[in-house]
Amino acid sequence: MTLRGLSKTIMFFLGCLMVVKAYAMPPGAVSEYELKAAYLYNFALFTTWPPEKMAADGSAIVFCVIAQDAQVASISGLQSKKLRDRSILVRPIVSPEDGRGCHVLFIGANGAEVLPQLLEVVRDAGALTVTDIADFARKDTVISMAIENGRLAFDVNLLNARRARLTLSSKLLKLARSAN
Amino acid sequence: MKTNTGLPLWFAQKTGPINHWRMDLVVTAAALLLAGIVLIVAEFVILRSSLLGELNVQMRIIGDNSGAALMFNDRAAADEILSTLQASPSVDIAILYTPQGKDFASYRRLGVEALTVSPLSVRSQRVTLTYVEYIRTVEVEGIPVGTLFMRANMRQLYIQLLWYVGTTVMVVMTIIAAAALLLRRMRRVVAHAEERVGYLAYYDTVTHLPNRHAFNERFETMLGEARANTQNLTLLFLDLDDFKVVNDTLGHHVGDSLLKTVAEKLSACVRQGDAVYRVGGDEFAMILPNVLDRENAVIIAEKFIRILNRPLSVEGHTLYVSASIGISMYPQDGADTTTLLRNADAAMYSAKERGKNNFQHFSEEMHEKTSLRLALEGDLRLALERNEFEVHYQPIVALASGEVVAVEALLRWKHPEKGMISPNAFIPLAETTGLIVPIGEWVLRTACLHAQTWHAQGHEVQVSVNLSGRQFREEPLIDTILHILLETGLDPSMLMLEITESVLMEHAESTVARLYRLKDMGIYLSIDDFGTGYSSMTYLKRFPVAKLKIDQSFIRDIPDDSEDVAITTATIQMAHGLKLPVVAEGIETQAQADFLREHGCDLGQGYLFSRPINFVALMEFFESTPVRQKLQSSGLRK
Repeated sequence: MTLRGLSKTIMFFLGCLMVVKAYAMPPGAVSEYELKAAYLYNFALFTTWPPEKMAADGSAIVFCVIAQDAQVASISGLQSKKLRDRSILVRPIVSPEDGRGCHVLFIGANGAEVLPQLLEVVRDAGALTVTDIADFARKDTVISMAIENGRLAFDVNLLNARRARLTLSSKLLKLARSAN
Repeated sequence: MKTNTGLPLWFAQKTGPINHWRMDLVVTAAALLLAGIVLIVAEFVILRSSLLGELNVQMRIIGDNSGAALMFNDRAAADEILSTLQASPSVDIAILYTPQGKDFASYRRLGVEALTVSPLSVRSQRVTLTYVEYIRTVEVEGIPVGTLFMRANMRQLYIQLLWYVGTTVMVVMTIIAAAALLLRRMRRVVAHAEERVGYLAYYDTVTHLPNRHAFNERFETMLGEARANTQNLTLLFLDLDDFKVVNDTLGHHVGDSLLKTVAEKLSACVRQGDAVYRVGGDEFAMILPNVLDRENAVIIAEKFIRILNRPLSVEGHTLYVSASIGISMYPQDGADTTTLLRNADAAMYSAKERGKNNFQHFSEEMHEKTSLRLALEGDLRLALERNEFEVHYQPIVALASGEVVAVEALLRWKHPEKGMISPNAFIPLAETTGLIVPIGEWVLRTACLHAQTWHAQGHEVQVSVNLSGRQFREEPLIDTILHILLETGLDPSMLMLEITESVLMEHAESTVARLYRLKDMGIYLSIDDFGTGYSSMTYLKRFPVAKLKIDQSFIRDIPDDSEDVAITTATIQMAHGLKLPVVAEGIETQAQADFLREHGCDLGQGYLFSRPINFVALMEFFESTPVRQKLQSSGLRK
């Protein structure tokens, strides 16, 4: 590659950085929901679904959300992005049956009551379950997020991940507060 | 032998090659150094590119691993990843930036100064002489999540390079040292060979004297000097007398030893700075500068003659040698090399002609003589065509009866301008030029033709024809004789071939078989000049000899000289013992004839009976004198 070509490429990437910076990384000033939405996207980036879940080419990655409206709105912002060349579809759900077909299932604070049934529905459906509800969720979902020392941390339950036939990148696991 | 500068003759050419080989070495060293530099530069490029490659890989690994940390804002994890760079000693600084260009995590080798770099201000790669900087976007799944900056020092590279330079220099030095040693040894061998070749070119290996080549160069130089300083230059040519005899009788080995001894004697005899050269087989030359005049040259020549006159002990033989010396001087006898050499040579031959063991100055007469000889040679070549030769005959008489029983054929040359030319003047010339062969053939044919004429008239008179050594060497001699006999129809018994005993001895082995072919035809040999050579008895039995001729030098003073009388009577008795008739030649007085007849000599030849006469006169002579006729018993011939 010539030097000019190289610098062009660099400029291109720098340009890209400008465009995506609002979504990709959690800047200090963004809200907690925005940060969590970005994390949710990042988790999906480091996750590999079982092949039958990714059957059709070009089909969207479905993010199912059961949370407060403000949080749903934050996550819905991800729809403008692509994940491994697939579009992202954010679907707010109400009943546990709606959980079928989800790639990512986020359970926010107001999803606590339906959680057991919801998990029952998606247990073997290959969904990446993520929650920001403290304590209990840790043992029932694949990933749980928590604020610690002003920083958003996360834990990974590998047993649940394996049960859902998901493969999580070691890079992700390395960054988890705990992975067991 | 040294030149004036004190160096051997062949040494002067040698300084050039020595400088050359130094140059060779310098060029070799330069080439090796250049090669070394090229190798070092190449090695630097290779080392650097491998360092860059290594850093690239490092960047990629760090970038890949730190992507997640950037995404999840995990500085601790990023620091941890960067700290793995400790294993790579060349990396000094590594900084991770967020997409916004803010420091996210950094790594700094112990003792390295902190560095603040804006990732946007650095090009993707910057290479200086001491460090390399890289900047690279960190991506996850194609999404840029940050920037990685890395600076690596080239210390390691330079240390490696230094080692490489050291090794290269040592190898180069070793090679140069080895090459120098090798070159010097080769040079020594070549120099030795050159010296040997130079020696061989300028020196004679037998006597270790400088040779003709050296002589020519030296003489040219010295003549130039003499000319420039208007000085004399004396040239002496010295030729050993009868050296060939030593070589032939005692072998080349003794001949060589003799030359060596003579060379030593001569060298010991010349003054400091004068050299003796061996310019030919038995020829030596001396160049003498500063000889004042002819008298002084004579003194020197006499010294040489005197020294060589003492008996020499060579290989157990005591040899008596003598030398003939020719002297020519610059400027009296010639102005240039060619003339001086030619004149010294002419003087030497003149000395030889005067009985050897003496010296001669070159003189104008010699030059004239040489010119005359050349002119004569030209005429001699034409004489046969111009029909200038004549055969004369001297009758040989039976002393007891007074009958003519034979004639000796003698060649005469009637020169159109110079008149009769003595055989002594032109026969040797004919011998050296080889003209004797066709001339001899002509004589033989003419004599046979004449003999056939008188034989047909009833005269039972043999004809004796002389054969020279040169003719004897000719391969088809016998065939020529037989052919002539057939051509002329002469009875072979009427022909007698006369040769001197030295010729017979010289060619004995090769011709003995051929001579017997002649004998089978009925042709016999007569030995001429008997008593002047070795007078060996054995060959008289080995060859078909039918007659002995006593040399006229013995006859001249009989019956007064008792010694000659003794030799003559002894020869007659010896010949008769071998049943060979004897001819005495050179009989001039009745007293000689009487004495010889009384002592049993069979035949006589000389002015008392008749001088040599031409064919017509001979035929008249036959009319007035008793001549042996056919059918008469001879008793003399075998």
